[in-house]
Amino acid sequence: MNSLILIKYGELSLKKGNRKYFEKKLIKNIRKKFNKLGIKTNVIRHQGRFYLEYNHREHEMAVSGLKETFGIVGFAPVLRVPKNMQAIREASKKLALAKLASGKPHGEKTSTAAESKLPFKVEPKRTDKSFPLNSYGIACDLGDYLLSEFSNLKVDVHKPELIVNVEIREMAYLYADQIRGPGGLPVGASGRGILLLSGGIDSPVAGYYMAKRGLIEEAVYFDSPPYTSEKARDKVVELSRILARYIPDLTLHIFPFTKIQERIKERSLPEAVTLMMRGAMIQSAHRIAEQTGALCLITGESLGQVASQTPESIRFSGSKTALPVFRPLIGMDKEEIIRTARAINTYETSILPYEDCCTLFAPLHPVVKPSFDKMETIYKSLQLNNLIEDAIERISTLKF
Amino acid sequence: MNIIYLDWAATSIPDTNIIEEMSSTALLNYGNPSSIHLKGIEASGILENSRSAIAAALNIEKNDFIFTSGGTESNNLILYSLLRKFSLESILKKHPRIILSGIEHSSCYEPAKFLEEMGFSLKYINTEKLGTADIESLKKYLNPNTVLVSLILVNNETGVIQPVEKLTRTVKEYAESIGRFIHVHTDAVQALGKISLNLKQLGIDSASFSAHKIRGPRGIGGLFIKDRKKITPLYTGGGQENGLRHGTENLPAIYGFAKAVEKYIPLVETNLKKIKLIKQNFLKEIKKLKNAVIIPEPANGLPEESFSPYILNVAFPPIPSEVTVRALSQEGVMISAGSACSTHKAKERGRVLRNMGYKPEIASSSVRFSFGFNTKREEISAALEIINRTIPHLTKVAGAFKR
Repeated sequence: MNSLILIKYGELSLKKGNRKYFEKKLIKNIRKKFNKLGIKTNVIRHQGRFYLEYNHREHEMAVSGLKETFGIVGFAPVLRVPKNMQAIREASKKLALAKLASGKPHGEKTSTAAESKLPFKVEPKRTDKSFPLNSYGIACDLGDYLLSEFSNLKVDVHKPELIVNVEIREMAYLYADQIRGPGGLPVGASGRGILLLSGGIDSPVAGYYMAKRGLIEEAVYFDSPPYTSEKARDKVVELSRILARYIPDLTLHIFPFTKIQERIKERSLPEAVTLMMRGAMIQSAHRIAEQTGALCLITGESLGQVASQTPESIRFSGSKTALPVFRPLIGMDKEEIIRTARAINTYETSILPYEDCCTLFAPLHPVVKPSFDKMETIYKSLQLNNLIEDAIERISTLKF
Repeated sequence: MNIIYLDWAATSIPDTNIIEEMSSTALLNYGNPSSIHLKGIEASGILENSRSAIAAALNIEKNDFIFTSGGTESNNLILYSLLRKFSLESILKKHPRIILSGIEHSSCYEPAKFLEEMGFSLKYINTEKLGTADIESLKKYLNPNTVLVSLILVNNETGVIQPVEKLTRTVKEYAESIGRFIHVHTDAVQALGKISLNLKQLGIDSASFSAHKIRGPRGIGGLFIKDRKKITPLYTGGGQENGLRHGTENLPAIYGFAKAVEKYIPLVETNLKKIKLIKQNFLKEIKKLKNAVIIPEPANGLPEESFSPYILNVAFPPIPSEVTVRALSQEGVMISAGSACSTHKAKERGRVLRNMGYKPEIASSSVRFSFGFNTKREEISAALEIINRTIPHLTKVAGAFKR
C-alpha cells in the first residue's frame, strides 16, 4: 500500500470522557466500510491522528468510502517523508504540481501576469521541537523554494488557493487540499434505534440524519400484500441498500402488516384509519425495540406535512411507545428534505411510482385534529396486541 | 404452491416439443438464409418451408406472409409505413385520415396517436357498451383523404370478436365509390389458433400475428400483406422478407412459429369446444359472487359467437384490479389486471373499458382471466375454490367503512 490519507475527526475531541470509545468505534467503522467495499486498507492511529493506508489505484474508492463514514470531519491525501528539508521540499513541489495540474485556470482575469498566478501559503506545524528549523524557518524555506521552482505561484497569506500544510512529527507529513467528511458521530456511538422506513422520500433521510448522530439502525418496513406490491417492497430494500452505505450492519425487518391493516379498516372509523395505522406501526416498532435492545424510534415525520403529522396526531401515535421518538425532519420543508435525499442518493428510488399504501386504506378525509381520548377508545377497540405479537413472529430480516 | 396459469392471453405456456425442435434447429441449421453456400441453402429451405406451412394453414399465398418480431412490430410496420407513403408537405396540407377503434391494442393505438401529432387526421370508431365497434359510426368518418382503417379482430381485454368483415365491406364500398384505395388492417394476434380464421373472407389488406400466444416462441410473429407494394417500411437493410423486414431471419423462432401453427390451427374447432365448456362453467360460478360484473355482460344481447371463449373480463368493485391479481397470485392463480391501477394517472386508466362506457370504478377493478389449449377442468375448479375464498374477503376489506 503506497498512499496515505490523514483523517480528521473534530467533534470527537470535544467529548473528552468518551474519546477512546468513539475513536474505537470510528476505526472499526472505517475498517468495516473498506471491507465491504472490498479494498485493502490499513487504519493507523498515531499521536491522536488516524491515517488510512491504501493502494493509489483505489484512490476514488478510498475517498468515497471516507465521505460516507460518519464521524469524519475532513481528510486529506498526505505525503510522508523523512525529516530533512531536501525531502520536504520535494514533497511540497509535488503538492504544488498536483494543484496546478488539477486546478481550473486560476484568476479569471488574465490581463496581467501577476493576476494569473496561483496564490499560496505554507502552514507549518512543528510537534517535534528537535527539528532544526522552527515553523517560521520552514515557511520561509519552502516559500522561497516553491517561488524559485514555479513562476506561476505567488505568496498570499490572506487568500491562498493552495495551502501547503507541513507537520513535523516522527516523520514529516505534507498535504494540501482537504476534503470534507460527512461530520457527525461514529455510527453506533449513540446506541441502537428502530427506523420506521417506507418507500417515500422522508424516512430514508430521517434515517440518514440519526445515523449521523451516531445511532446504529434497524429499519422496519410494514409490508401489506396483496394491497401493496412486491415492487413497493423491493423499493424499500433498495433504499436500505443505499442507507447501508452510511450505516454499517444495517438490518431491515419486513413486518407482515396485512392482518393488522385489515382489522383497522374493518373496525375503525374511516377518518381515523391512517392514524390507527400509525399507532399500530409505532407499537410494533416499540416491540421490536424491546427485543433488540434499541433505545429509541426514528420516523420521517415533518410537522403538518400530512394529516397524521399534526401535533395532535403525533401525540396520539407517539403515545404507543414509552421510548423517545426521534423526528429529525420535524422542522424541515419538503424542499430541504428533497435536497438531502438527492445528496444521499435515495431520491430517485423514493420517487418510483410504487405505493406503500393501497388507496383502499387511505380515507378521503382523515382526521387532522383528533381528540386523544376518542382515538384512544377506537385504538383499544381494535384489539391489536395479539395480531402484533403474531406478526412479530413472522418478521423476515435482511442484513446489509 | 401449485400454479394455475390463467393468463394465456398475455402469453402461453410453451410447448415442450416445439421448444426442443427449435433448439435443435438453432444448433444444427446455423446458416444464414441469405448465404449461397450449402448451410445457407439449407437454412433458406427451412425458412421457406416454414412460410409455406403458415400460408397453407391460413389459406393465403406464401408470398403474402412475412415474418416479424411479433404483433407489435407488425402493427407498427403498417402504421409507420404511412410516413414514407406521404411527403411531409402533403401530410400537413391534406391531413391523410386514419380511422381506428378506441379498443385497439396499444401497439396500434399509440403509433396512430403519434401519426396524429405528425399531422395525420385520426378518428375513432364508436364502441358500444357490448365492446363492439359500431360500423355505422365509421361511415361518418370516411372521407376521400382516408388512407387506413384498422380494427382489432379479437379484443385482448374483453375477448369480443369485432365485425371486421362488415367493416372491410363498408370501407371497400366507399373506397370504390370514390375510386381510391383505403388500406384495411386487423390485429389478429388473439384470433390466431383460437377462433376459425378466414382472411380472404374478411377481405382485409393486412393482419398481424404472434407466435407466443399459441405456445410458440417469443419474439417472432408475422404479417399477412395482400399487396406488398402498398407498404414501405421505415427500416431498410439487406432486403430480407421481400424487402419489408430487413435483418437476418430468426430461423429457430420462425421454425417454432410454423410448428405451433401447424399443430394448433387444425385443432381450432376441437379446442374451441373444450374451452367454451370451461368458460361456461367458470362463468356460472363467477356470477355467483355478489359484486362480479362481467364485461361485457353477454345477457345484454351479444350472441355467444361474438366472444372468444379464451378471454373473460370481470370486475369485482371496489377491489382494485392489482389487489385482486396479487391476492390470487399469492394463492397460485395467475391472472392479469384488466387495466393498470395508478392513482396518479387516472386518465390513462382502463382506456378500452372506458371507451366501452364503463365507469372508472368498474374499469379500475376489472381483471382478465384467460384460458389456453391445455387449461384443465380440475384447474378451473381449484381456481374457483381460491377465488370464492379470496374475493369475498377482499370485498369486505375494500368495502364499507364502519359508519
